[in-house]
Amino acid sequence: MSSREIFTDRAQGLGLLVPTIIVSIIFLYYPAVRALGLSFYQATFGRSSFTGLSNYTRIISSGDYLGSIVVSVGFAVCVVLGVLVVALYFTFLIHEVDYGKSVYLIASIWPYALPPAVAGLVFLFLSHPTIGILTSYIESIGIQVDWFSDGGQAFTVVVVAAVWKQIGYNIIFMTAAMNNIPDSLTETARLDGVGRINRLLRVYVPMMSPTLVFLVVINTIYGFFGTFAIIDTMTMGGPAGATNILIYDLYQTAFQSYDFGFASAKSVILFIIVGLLMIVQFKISDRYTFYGT
Amino acid sequence: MDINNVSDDTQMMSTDSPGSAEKVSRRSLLQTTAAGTLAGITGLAGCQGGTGGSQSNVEPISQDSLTIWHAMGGSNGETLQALADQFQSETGISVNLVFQDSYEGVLTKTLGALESGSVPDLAQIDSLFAQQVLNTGAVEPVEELLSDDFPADDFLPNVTSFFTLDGTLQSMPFNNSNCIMYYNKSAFEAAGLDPESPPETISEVRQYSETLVDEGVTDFGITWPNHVWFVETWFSNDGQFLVDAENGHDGSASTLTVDNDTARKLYEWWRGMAQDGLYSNPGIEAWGEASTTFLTENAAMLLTSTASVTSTRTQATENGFEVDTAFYPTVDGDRVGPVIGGASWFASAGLSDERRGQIGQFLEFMGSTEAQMQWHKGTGYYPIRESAIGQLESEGWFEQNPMYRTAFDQLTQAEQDPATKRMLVGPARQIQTTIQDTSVEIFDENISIDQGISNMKSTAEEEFERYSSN
Repeated sequence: MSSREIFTDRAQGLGLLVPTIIVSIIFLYYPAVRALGLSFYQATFGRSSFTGLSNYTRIISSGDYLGSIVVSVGFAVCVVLGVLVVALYFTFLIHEVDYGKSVYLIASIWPYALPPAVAGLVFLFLSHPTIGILTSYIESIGIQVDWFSDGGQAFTVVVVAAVWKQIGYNIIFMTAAMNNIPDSLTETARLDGVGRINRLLRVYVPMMSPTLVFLVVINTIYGFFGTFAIIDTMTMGGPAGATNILIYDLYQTAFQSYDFGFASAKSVILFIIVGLLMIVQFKISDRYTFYGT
Repeated sequence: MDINNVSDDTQMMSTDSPGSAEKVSRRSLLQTTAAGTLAGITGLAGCQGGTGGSQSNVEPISQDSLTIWHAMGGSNGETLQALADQFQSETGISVNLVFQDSYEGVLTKTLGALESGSVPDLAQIDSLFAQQVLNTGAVEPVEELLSDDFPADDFLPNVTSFFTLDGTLQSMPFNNSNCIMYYNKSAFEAAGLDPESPPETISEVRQYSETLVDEGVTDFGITWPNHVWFVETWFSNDGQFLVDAENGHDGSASTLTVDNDTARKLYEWWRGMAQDGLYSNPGIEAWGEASTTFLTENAAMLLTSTASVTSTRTQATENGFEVDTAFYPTVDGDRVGPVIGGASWFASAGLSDERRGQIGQFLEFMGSTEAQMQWHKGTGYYPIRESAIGQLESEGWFEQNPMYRTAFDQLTQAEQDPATKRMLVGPARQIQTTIQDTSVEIFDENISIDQGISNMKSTAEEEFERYSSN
């Protein structure tokens, strides 16, 4: 550690941290504490009354909220797996290619350059049931595109959109990690007669594990929170709650129904769910991650 | 905090942090990032918590000019700005129009501002949310701001009746419209239907749709955005209340009055249309998508606002087909009248007398015959005055623009019936989404019609109960 020490005294280091700390306190920790307090109130504009745990009992007894938890977890799992698998495969293909590497790289990173709301709109018009550009092609293989009414289809469409949006980000990191793998290792594997897919899964993936763990965490956060704009522009949580992930449900409660107390309680629950998930992820990844020496 | 901030926030959460990850500290960095993000989510809900109590000190946002929040984008916004400029040059009173993106945007910011005490002088509130703003007790009835000699008696009664409570005009109606049917005359002709006799009832809409689709002229018969306004219009035309207490105009509403034939006939038809591929579902509150479906000739009929007359006609001509308008199709032949949609100006209470005078002047200007004619021509919204309609007629406006005729006839032929006043309820947004979401479940055959009706009722009852208990 001592070799990495840059600042000679603690005061200097602290001084540089102060802006971040102040911003975090004002915009993260103080509101978070307020939200916890507010979750014990029934509150809207101009009116609030202490109601104890009633917001929490309302959450527990709400079928809609439980449905939303199931949808969120399912959505996050599909997005994380989808993003990792697709991005890993794309990265591998780009890694293997000899000519035009940068063209492929740019092409696959492109969707990531779009702001989330724009990406949502673009995907909406690509896959719109009546006026979508891709719709007639999909319908020509016998699938009736109707995701404005069909919950399963709507879920699939937003998962695909969310994956499409996020693979670029993953490819950047995976490419960097894959390029760090010594060529000698690739050569040895070839000489030993290891097939392509085995080389990817048994040689590259273990070497890339720290990056992959990082991406799992970031993708999980993305799956739970970062996909808000896609849901908002494409399905608004519908049809019939099929894509109503927790963060969108929370937004509707707080900023469309102005039910701030209930929304605060929901945010506390969301905090706990994702917090637990993070702990589990770190525990599991500890066992399988190779951080080098 | 509004929607944009939320998405900025979430975007930031997914993108910041990884850049400088060092081997040694990567894991701890990851953990802190995750923890920080989580704290942020909790904070999201906490950032706008009302602590209650109405403020005593009300101050306008700006001392130098009237601050007016509105939701008129595009060319409607330009027409509004032109009127405001005219007002400024006539009176010397400076006006600052602030576009707030949507009715929801204006509502959220206005409710927040009324609570904080730093208020806009006027806010344009969607009629659906009127009760919520009235309940703050922080707005002043506009009637008290208007001078005694302001001619209020020639307002269109169908328009002003909604905005009048206890005999007092609470807010100044400004941009008002109702829903109407647009139809593709060229497609009607191609399908062998008489383009001069559009369908008048929902069962006729079904017959026409079947012909259009069977003849291969369009993919769908009809489309409209899944918005509660359309359900409200079907109910009012049938002379039915959608919520109790006379749609909330006679006391506080406590339930939906949907356990009736109107609702059953409507949903049976809607579900049949959807299941047989005759209705194209553009999505919830998807105004733009519905219009696009009509304009690209995927559907030959469209239900939407009378305020879209100008743009629909222009674009239909560009796309090479002829469009016309007809009365809104009824559930069962009864045609009591449509509900009024659109918005009105609400004035903040507690401002100085000088300020109130200026606000009154602005409202009188906006309500004047000349301004209302200009507004109507620029946007397609109704003028709220008989005199403006009279003058438009004598100018020959309706001969040049016959499609506006239908919109007016539909309004002025309406009976003065309490059912034509749209619902006025506190938890309007919740009631709206309940009806819209359940409609999808019904027409997608996830649940039976009776089940849907009873679900709608019980969810709405909970919302009403919660709203009144707070």
